[in-house]
Amino acid sequence: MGPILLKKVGELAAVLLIVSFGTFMLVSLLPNDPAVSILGQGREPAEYAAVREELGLNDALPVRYLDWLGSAVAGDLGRTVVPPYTDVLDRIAAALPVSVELAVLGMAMALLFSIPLAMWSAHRAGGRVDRVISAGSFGVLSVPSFLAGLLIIMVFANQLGWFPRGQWVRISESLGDNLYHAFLPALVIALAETALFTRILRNDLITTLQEDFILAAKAKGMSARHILFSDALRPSSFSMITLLGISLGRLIGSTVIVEYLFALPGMGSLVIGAANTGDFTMVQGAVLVIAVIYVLTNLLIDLSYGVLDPRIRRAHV
Amino acid sequence: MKRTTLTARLVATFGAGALMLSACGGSGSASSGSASREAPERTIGTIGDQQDCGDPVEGGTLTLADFAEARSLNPAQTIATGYSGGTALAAVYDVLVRYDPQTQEFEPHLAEDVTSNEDLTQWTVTLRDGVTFSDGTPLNAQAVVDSVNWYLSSRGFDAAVIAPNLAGVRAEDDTTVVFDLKTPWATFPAMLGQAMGMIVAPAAIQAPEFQPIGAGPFTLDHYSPQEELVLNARDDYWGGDPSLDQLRFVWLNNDDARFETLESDGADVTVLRDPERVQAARDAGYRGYLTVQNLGNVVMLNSAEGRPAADPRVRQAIALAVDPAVLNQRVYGGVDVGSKAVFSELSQWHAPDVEVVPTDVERARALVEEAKADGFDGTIGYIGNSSASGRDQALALQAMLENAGFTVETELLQSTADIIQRVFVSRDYDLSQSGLSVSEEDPFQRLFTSFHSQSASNASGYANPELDALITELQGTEGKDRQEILAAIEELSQEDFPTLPLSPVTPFVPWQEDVHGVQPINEGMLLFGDAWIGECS
Repeated sequence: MGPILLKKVGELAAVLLIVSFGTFMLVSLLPNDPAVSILGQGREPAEYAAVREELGLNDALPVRYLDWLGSAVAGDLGRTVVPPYTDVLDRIAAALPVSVELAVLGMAMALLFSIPLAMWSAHRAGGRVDRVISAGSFGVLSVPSFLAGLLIIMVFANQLGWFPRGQWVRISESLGDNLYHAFLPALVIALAETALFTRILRNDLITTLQEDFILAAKAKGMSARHILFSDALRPSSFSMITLLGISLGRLIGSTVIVEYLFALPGMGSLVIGAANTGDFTMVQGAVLVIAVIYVLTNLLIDLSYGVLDPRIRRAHV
Repeated sequence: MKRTTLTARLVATFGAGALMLSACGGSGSASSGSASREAPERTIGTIGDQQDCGDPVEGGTLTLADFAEARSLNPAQTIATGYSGGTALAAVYDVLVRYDPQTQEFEPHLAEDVTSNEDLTQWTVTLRDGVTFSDGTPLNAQAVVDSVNWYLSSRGFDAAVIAPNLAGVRAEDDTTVVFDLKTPWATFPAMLGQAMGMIVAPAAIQAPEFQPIGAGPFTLDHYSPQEELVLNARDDYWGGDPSLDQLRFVWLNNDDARFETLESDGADVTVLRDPERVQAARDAGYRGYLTVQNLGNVVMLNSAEGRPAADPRVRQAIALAVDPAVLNQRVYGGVDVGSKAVFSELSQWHAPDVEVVPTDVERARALVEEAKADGFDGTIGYIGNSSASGRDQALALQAMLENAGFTVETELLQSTADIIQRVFVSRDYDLSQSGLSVSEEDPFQRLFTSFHSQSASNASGYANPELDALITELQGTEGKDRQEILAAIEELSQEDFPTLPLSPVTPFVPWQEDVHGVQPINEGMLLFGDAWIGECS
């Protein structure tokens, strides 16, 4: 396990270097002059020059990248260059929990919905229930998340008034209020993921249910429920877990539509806002953190295969 | 039900008599270039039952779903209007002077008295005794002088209009501050009701990083960017302990969300500018405050060198290509007052004799072709808001401009604060959806900051000596006499287009039934020192 872990970590470090370098270069190519973003127009050229010097913008790009990377590794992602002037890390520390919570809640809801649906569908493969669930999944997948979000807002916030639209309550303030405010955004995220998970898990379950060991279990007189939950689910879950990892990492940086619809202060809003206002240090820092989370999530997923399936563990040994 | 009707009769400032104008909205005599649909009647001022309803209820948190986030509580970094975070600043710092919609005059607030000399070149501010900042230090004349000088040297937004006109500010004694001006300035007190009049404590500017310490009724509890700003009530506020415990600001992305949040009791007060949402809130019977802002919805034309709109033919072509009546129908379902006039029929400053530029696509095409023959590639960028109405407006404008031969590259930004940063700070745009918010009470100020060539806040890059001269003349003119000058400004604007007006805006600040004591002031800002939440006793 150790050499595998080391190899994986090495690969992931390389990925992070490439992502951070690419982001740094792309942001550096933006036409915005950070000195103008900070001071505004109409200042003396010397004032702009002083700001550029202070930010190190007069250095060569590779030098600036190495400086930034060195600071980043030491935990310093710099300060924002447009108001509010704060440490980039502080802004990320405030936004990240929102996105992580939304992604985790969305995933949890998706799993909660998709596992029973997939089992039911696989158990009755080709039957009426399977066809209805399949049609429903395709239907949900074909609805863009912004539209689903608007519909959910219209029904649950505007018409029924059961849930609020917008505003965020931190867990530290009140867990109940937090869940109350997070429910609708998480539901929007969960809808598309549920459809996807259901399709993937159903197909894998159908394959598993045709395996010899399932036949043996049936021959022993095991109930359908026992076979589905105890025997078929685990070996059928690899594709879904892979997808779960990818989705979780992706969602942390890309719940921007949901964040916009519900005006939530997550990573998506942070990055989009920073890009729109030319806050290059914020963009660089946020993209790096999202990339780190993405690769770490996938590392954990890779490692979890060995836990889920002893054959993989033994193969590596 | 008491209804204070100030229909388009917001009167000028000091010394001006009450100028009554009829509710021009709904007039069938729309000039060329105006929306052909009859505009809805606007009742300007405080709306709904606002009478004293007993003793204030103590305690509670009032949530304001504000129009834009104050990304800094530094008055030199945030534009102090109700549409750019100014209400939060006013809560922390208060204002020396406030506009009173009831009397239609600027009244002393944090100051005890404000007077001028005969020729309006010297204004004297007398401070109240015993006022302290939230850190306990006294708000005296020297603190005011230091704060004003700091604001000007920090190049706050209004410094663009103040600095070129201010000869100096001095403390005459502990409670008297004298402003010496270079030119007569009839509406100078308006500046004391905005960012420069938000006095920061000496400790606020002596610290290595700015600290939000003011003399207002609230102090900073915490600020979570893009999430919330929470202020705590002060128990040593000069105006008496606020009834509220806390004042909380949240920012939703558009008027739809703000109105829905108000409807679902997620906010106690909000700010609406979208004509459809304003109408919906009015129809729903909300109490609140409605005002008029000229140039409330404009297409900013960046006339800076190197930008397409630096060419007067391009500006004129844009003006000829756009039909505000079409925009009104497509974007606002016909409830807006579409007009290319700087001062529309809703304004007391409307100039009925000035011809508004018509919509003439053929002429627009000819001008675009002329510009292209001289090297213009026909491509022009447009920045808009990503709200539903912002998208609709962007689409409609794109269609109209492309019909005239332009190629439009549209970019929709997430929030008003993003547009402010991009347009007013970085000035990185060709065309942009915006609002210049020329107020009825003091049209000089925004006309100067937006279009005068000496204004450091002139984000349009427009420079025209003729317009400069008219604006300067306006500055020294009081009351009704300003009408003639503003008509001349209208005429020049219809010929040279420093900006493209689309409509005035009638912002509405609705509040819940149990909210009392909200005090609207100038520039769309609100004071909450006397606000409370509860049932009438």
